Amino acid sequence: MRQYIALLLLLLVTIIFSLTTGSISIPLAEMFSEKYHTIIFEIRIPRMANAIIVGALLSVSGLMIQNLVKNPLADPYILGVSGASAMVQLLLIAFGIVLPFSLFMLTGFMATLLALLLLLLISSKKSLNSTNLLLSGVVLAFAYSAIISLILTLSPTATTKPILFWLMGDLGYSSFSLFPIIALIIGSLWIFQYHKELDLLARGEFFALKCGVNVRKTNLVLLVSASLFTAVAVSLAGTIGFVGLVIPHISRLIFGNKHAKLIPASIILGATLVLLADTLSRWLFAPTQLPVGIFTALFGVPVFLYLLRKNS
Amino acid sequence: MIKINQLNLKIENKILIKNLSLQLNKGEFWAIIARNGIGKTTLLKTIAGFTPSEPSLVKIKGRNITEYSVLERAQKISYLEQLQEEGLDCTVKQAVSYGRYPWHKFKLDNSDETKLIEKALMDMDLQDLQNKNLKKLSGGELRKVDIATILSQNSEIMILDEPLNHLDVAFRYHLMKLLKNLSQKKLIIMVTHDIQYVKEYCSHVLMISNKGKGISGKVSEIMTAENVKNILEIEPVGEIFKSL
Repeated sequence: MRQYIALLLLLLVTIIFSLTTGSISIPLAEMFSEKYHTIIFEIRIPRMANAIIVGALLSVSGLMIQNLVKNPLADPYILGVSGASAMVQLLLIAFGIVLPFSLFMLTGFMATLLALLLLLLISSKKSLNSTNLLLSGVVLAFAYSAIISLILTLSPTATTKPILFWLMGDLGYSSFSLFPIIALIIGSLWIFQYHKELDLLARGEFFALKCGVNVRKTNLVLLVSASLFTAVAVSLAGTIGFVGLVIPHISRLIFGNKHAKLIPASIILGATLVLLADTLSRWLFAPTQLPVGIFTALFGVPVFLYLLRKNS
Repeated sequence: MIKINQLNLKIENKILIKNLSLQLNKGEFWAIIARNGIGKTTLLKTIAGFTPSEPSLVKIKGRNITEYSVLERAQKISYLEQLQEEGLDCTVKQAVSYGRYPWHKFKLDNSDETKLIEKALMDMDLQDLQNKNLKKLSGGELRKVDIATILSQNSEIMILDEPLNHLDVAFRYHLMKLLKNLSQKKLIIMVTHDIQYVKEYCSHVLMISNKGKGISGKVSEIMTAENVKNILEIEPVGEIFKSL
């Protein structure tokens, strides 16, 4: 419990830091004054909300994917499902098609579902086997990424920079929408009820099966929800790297391996990391904004290496 | 408790076991003996319903094994694999507690579960290792954890695929004694190559010949030097066979 309070405090401090810092610094005392009302409520709070949601979704998604493919090096993008959504959304950007934000997200979502179906068709002849899934997913991811590179090479220079930013992860383009918040709340509650099954699955698929876990159903739930989580995150902020890979590990190093603890811990830690990284990306070279993905990695790597050393 | 009716087993069109009929009851401790590659593990997995037999010829308590849900099966049958997969990190106590899953899937309070978990840890002599990570255990210790897990599962039928593997000699005797005691209230089926333990601890035996033909019955009637010679195709020489 004490650990959770510490984590929540850390998140709170990061939130305050994020709201007061940027190209314009706002003194803490005047945070909610009339003078800064527009900046705080129309710019920084929506962006903060998106950063928190993206971080939480990517972390939970990573936690589930690592469990699903039984590989600690897996991240939410490894199965390529989100690559499909990125590909379609990039096509929209590259062709200069401007859709309302909710429609833009919906397009990514549909692409994700189609990619998921394709992955299932290819990988599961009889059952959902983690090796098959991983291999088919990785190969499909390469295909999507090749098409993304193609779009990038062929598009005019003017659109290259937003695309590059988007590939490295950037919260600057998203606007506020209620849908991701609802997706996060319902999604994490939905996945939380599988925490025992996740514990057993981490021991091995046959192990879980012989202990009474409906492995096929649970794997499908994991795959579908992790893909949708990632799709929401990708439509909000592009492909932010590192969060989904490293936050589940950091959570495991602090909280052990019970998913009843790991799911909430990943949500809070992931939210904090992305929010902090985004704030730094807005602030350090202001008014120039950097892609958030740079800072998630720069921050996450030392923390992760420290914890790894401490625990081994 | 288990009824097998004219079961044929094949892998990739190679017939392994022919026309096997068996009746196994509570209070019995069965050993299955055969040479390598005869299909012992496939047989165990078919009995437990992990490998579907079509049409299912295995009945447990009068009901086709394939009709049980995954959870119901785990309440009835615990299963020890020959080799447990390597999973992500986990402590000994946690791993053993997973055996309780089929009984407390929907239960929030598990306080009465701790007794069974501790008993299983004690039976397998794991109390001192209970907070250790599985990755840091030796092969024998890992085997004990796997056995403790199915002990904590506490189901009426226990199926064990070569449970003695990796264990030291003293612990093999300990385990066989433990299983014999448990079999008074359960049905235990195990595959083993250590036939010296069978005569002493098991009540029944199924021997499968290289041609896939099985003979079964009480150990005292079936485990004869002649059967060992004919069915397993080995010359019964040495200390082990003096008792036969």
